[in-house]
Amino acid sequence: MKAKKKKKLEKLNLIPILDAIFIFIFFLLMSAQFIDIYQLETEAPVTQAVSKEEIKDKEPLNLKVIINDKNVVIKTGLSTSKSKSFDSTEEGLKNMQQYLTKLKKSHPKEKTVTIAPKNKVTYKKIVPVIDKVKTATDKGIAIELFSLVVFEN
Amino acid sequence: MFKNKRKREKRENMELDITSLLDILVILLVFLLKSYSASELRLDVAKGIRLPSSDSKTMGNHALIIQMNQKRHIWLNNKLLDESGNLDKLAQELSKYKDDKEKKEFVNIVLDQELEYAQIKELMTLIASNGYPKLKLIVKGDY
Repeated sequence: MKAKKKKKLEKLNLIPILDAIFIFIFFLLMSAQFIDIYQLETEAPVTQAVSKEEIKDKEPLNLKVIINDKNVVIKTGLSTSKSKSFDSTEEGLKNMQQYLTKLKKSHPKEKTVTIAPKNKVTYKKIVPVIDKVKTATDKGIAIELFSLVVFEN
Repeated sequence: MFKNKRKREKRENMELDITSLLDILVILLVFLLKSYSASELRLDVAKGIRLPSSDSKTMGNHALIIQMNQKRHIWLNNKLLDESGNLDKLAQELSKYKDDKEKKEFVNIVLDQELEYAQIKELMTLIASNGYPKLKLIVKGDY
């Protein structure tokens, strides 16, 4: 008689757990997204004007990234402009990111970058450049480079 | 006495073994938790659009969604507006939102990865001139 009682206690009632899991699944299915979607913040094509006071204070960096089909050219400066070219390959874009990290260190207050792709350049070639221009990683730590991306008109 | 025994046997037979079902549900739960997204942006990517990959980890926000595929078909909030690549219809629709109290200053733009910049620029300029200067480019997470 005692042995029978023990056996009955061993059985677990799983129905409440099952109910909870069913409700949980419903909400998870509602919020599930099967491709990871993120966003890149940019600003519409504009013509930028630099005030004379800004130039007097310290010449602005005036960073401009020209995206060609096979290379990316970085231009800086207003009166005396410097330019440097990088390949559109992954290696080339990494080198460009290192160059931009150095620029950011010398101009920590600058946040704006003007992106100027050529008309025939495809969207998939523009996105990796924007990625590299916005952030970099240094020893596993993410560094914000030029977060305000403006397309040139 | 004999009748009672039979009744008890019948009741015992009716019990279902749900352990295997529970196993499946737990496995399903793991996969659903993996695909869970905390982003407030709910997006149905239109037919024929392949999103470019990006390193970005910024979550999307809810706003107007404009989509364009390689054939220049245009969608506004999942509604197909034009199949000829003409942007006039989009301009008309955007102007309807000008006086909307809940209007945000940005829109989400979903573009096919093969679109050329000339086409993208035309679209972006039109959107900006209709009161949306900030553009959020929707991209696919890079693995």
